[in-house]
Order: sequence, then structure tokens, then C-alpha cells
Amino acid sequence: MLHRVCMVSDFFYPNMGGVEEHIFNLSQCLISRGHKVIVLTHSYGERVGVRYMTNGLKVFYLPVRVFYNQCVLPTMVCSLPLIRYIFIRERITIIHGHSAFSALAHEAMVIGRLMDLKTVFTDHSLFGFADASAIITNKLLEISLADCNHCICVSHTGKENTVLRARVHCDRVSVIPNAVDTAAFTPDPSRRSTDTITVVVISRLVYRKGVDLMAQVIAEICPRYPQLQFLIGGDGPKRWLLEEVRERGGLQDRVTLLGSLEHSQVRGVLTRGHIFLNTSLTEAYCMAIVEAAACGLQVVSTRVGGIPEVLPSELIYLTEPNVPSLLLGLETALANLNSGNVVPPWECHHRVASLYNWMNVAQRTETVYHQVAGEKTKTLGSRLRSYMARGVLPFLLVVTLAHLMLRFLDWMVPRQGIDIAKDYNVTSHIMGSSHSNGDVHCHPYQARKKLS
Amino acid sequence: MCVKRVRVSKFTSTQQSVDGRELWLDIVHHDTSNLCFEFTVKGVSVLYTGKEFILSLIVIVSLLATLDIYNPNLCVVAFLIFLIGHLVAKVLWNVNSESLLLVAPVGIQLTATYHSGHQTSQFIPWHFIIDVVINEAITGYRVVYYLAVLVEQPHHATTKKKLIPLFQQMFLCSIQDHAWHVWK
Repeated sequence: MLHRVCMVSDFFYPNMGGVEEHIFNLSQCLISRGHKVIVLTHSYGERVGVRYMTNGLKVFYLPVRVFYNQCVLPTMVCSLPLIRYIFIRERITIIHGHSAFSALAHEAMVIGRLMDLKTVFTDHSLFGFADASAIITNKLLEISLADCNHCICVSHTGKENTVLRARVHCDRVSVIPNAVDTAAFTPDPSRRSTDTITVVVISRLVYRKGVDLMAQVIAEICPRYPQLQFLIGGDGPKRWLLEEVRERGGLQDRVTLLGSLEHSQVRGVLTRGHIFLNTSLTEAYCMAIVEAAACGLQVVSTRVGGIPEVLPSELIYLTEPNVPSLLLGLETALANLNSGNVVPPWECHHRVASLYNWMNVAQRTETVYHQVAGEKTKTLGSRLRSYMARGVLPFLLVVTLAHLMLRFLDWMVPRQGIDIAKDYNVTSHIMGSSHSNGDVHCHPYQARKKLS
Repeated sequence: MCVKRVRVSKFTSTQQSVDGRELWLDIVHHDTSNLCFEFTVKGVSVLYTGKEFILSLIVIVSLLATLDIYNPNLCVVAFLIFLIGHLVAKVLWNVNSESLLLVAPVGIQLTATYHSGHQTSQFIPWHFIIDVVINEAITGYRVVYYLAVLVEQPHHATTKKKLIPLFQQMFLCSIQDHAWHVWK
């Protein structure tokens, strides 16, 4: 059974990050399995309107104003006419929202549910319970997921967290981990320097990625091990901290700050290193360490969130999120490297490739879609009852307003008047190009996709 | 000289625009060789019975009825002025028909005829034209397909390449099927 899926999130290309890559890779694999996928996101600067990506992935950059941190204002009804128009035009059957922080995803899911479409939500992050922002966000997530057909989390820790904070029944939550594009991330030991040991760090330089810990570790370990070099990629508000450490310790030639990296450059930087360091304070699932392991690096990471579930124990050194423990972990890794007690890079790569691949993730997501498509559509009354059970009664007014607006729009802009968009036919495009050239034409994405 | 005007085909009222109006497509061959065509898209005028018009009238009348003349609410007055202005603009500047005169290899002329009989036109020289494309755009609350001409202006100061949309006022439904018929 083929589905027509709409991925909705505030976070998509040209923004770079885990959620964006997840959406893109999952969409590509679903398209290759025959489903139709479109992506809905807000406009990024000049980039407004309809764009096409690889294999005909249609991306709608909606002209909605960004409010804060790449998110739109969380009204549930302002973009209703446009989103409804797009759902009818593309004949969408399933709406897949990503990331709890994305207001656009919640809005599209509320609208989709009122239009009797099925909704799935993927949660990519862990969240606390204690402070005010956490309480508010958890409540918002709870009311948004009250009527969601199914929820997907990226690790078992993530599932626990989502079930507890959003009070979703555990039967409605599945765990489908992220994967890494192992065809792109391959080791290259020849690029490593032979006389120094390079520690690579690639992350956004924000508080929750543990930049404070990183700075202290660098300051303490550099004097002790003169052959150690640090290569730091990524940018963010905490960059000044690392520069300060660099200046104070006179480590200009030993610590290199590369600034923000294009995703295509990440592999080049990773292959130059021997060890990968991750100092996150909280992480549902860390893509970066899987990419590093696929490139054959030893991984030293803090034991937080879902990280212990990600890699087998031979490929990772886990530490507590404090400086002495991190120092111990790094020193153990260095000692093992010097003594030769390491997993060879290519073996590391093959193990990761066997554990994670995107086609497997797409297959599991497809199972979720099949299950969700078979569920009965609920009436408006039962939906309102499930929202009411959460206790936030004003939200019922919002949902009712959205419902009334949809009824009004059904009269004002009737469905028959809406032009149905033509689907991008992937197979005919690829077959056409292979015949026109005479020789075998290798589609660029297919060449990269190794179905391990 | 247009001695013989051959009307090739005339599409009937099964064509609907995205607004729900009926559209008529006229194709005129101005000479016997396939060098001079005129395509005209005419909208059957439904302005005064359209949903938007009637709804705006109802809203204006109800706002006027509830408006307190001696102590008017500024927001309501501003909204009222906006609505009335919008309505007047639609009546005055409603596009009745649009036509595309194609003379190879001189160029393309786009003419829009308004309700009041007033006409505006735009000419594109032949050697500037690179290609004709069907593009998709988000306008207001809709996503529409529109026909556009890809133009290159080598001597222009700022914009070297431009996309000039055709038939801006009337968006044809299922444009790809019609475009195939028309451009064969």
C-alpha cells in the first residue's frame, strides 16, 4: 500500500542539523520505496515558494514569518487556509510532524486531524521536567499529542521521556532510531597525521552540548600530552569560551577552530582525526557519534540520555558528564591508541553499517504508516473529548475555531476548485535519462545509496 | 493583412479558473502559415454574484449598521474603509480578458482588458525569449500553476534573466492539459 506523506517541521534545509537530515534521508528512502513525500516548512530568507530536491522531493517554503530560533509563532489557525489548500492539492493521506519545538508541525497536525487525515509525530529530543519552560512545553506537547495516531521516538530513553512528559500511552509509541549514511561516511586512515594524535569535536557550540566541559578538558589535558591536537568544527554562541582557553593557554597551534561546517565537509574533517569527543549534557540520540564511528574514529562521550543505546561498548568510551571523568576517558582512549588496542577503522565502519541504515528505518516507518492508515477516523466529538481529558479547556476553543474555519473554507474555496498537483514520477525520470544517454546513467543519489 | 481569420478552436465552459469562474479560450490564426497566433482567455463575469463580493457586502452592511456615528470605534472604521476600498478596487480593476499575441519572429504581446474597457499591454521581443515554463507558486492562501516566459536581457542594468508570468489574473485549472492542447 502506497501512502502520500507530508513531512512537516520548522527545521529543514538550508538549516543544518539532526532533524533536518532525518527528514531528508527518510523522505528519500520512502520515495525510493514508491511513496509520495512532500515537505512543509517555513521560508528561509529569500527562499520562499515551491522547490524540488533530489528525486522529486517537493518542498514548500511557506511565507510564514519566523518568530524565534527558526520557529514560527504558535497560533494554530493563521496558516490554516494555505495548509488546507496544500493538503487537498497534493492529496495527502498521512501527516508526519517532526520535533516537539516546531510550532508549524503542531499546527499542521491539528489542521490535518480536523480534515480526517492520519497523523504521526516523531520526537527527537529529551526534555526535563523541573523548570518553568519545561512545564509549559510538556503541557503543549501533551495537548498536541492527545489526538495523535502514533508517536515515534529515536531511542528507548526518548520513549520513556515522551511517555512520561506527554502522557502518551506506551502502546502508541514506537522506537525507530536514526541512521547514518554509511556510503558517505567512510574511514580514510591515510589522512590522519602520524606524529600527532588529533581529537575531533564537531557540534554546535551551545550550552547543552557541554562547551564548558569541553573548554576545561582542553585546558587541562593539553599541557599533559604534548602530542595532542584538537580540531573543533561548528559555531555558536559559546565560541568565545574556546577562544579564551586557546589564548590563555597559548594553544594557538594545538587547538584549531574551523567555524561552522557544511555538511559535505564534515566527513573530511572527521577522517583527519583519531578520536572523537562528545561532551553533551543531554542528548536523545547522537548522530555525530555514529558518523564518527562510521569514519573509524574512537569515540569518547558523556553517558547522558540515549547515548548508551547508540553504539556497542567496544566502539565507545562512556564517561560521566564532569571534567575528571572526561579526562579519564580521554586518557584511556589515548593509552589504547598508543598500545594498538583499538578496533581497526574499517571494521568499525562495517559494524556501524550493519547496525544502522536508512532503508531499515524507512521500512519500520512504513510499518507505522500501514498501521496508522488502518485506524478508524474519529468524530469531532471524540476528538474534543480526548483534548478535554488533558484539562486545558481553552484549547478546545482553539480546535473548535479551527474546525469552523475549515467548514467556512469548504464553502468559500471548495475542494473541486482546487487544482490537483501532478506527482513527480521518479521511475520514468530515471529510465528516461538512462535510455537517452545510451550507456548506463547512474543517478547520483542511487550511486551513493548502498543498501547494506 | 488579416484577410482570412480562421478560428481554430474554442474551448467551452467546462474550463474553470482556480477562483471558480468560467473561462473561455479563443485561438485565432491571423495568417495561413503557423507564425501568427492570438490566444485570448476571457472570464465570464461573475463579479457581482461571486461569494467574495457578497460576503464583503454583508460584512460592510452589518458593520455600518452597528457603527455608532457619534462615537465611532477607530479599528472598526479603519477595517470598514479597508473593505470598501478593496471592493471598489475589485470593481474598477477587474480583469475581463487577457490575450497573448504571438508573432514569430517579432515577439509576444500580452494585453489585459479591464472591466472599464481600459487596456494595458507588455511586449517581449523574440530574441529575448529563451523558453516557456509552467511554474508553481504560493500566492496568498493558494498554490497555483502559472505559465511563464523565461527571458534574458543582456543589456539591462540589473536583471539579466527574468521570468515573466503570463495570464496573471486568470489562473486556469489543470493548466498542464490545456497547455498541451494549446502548444501542440
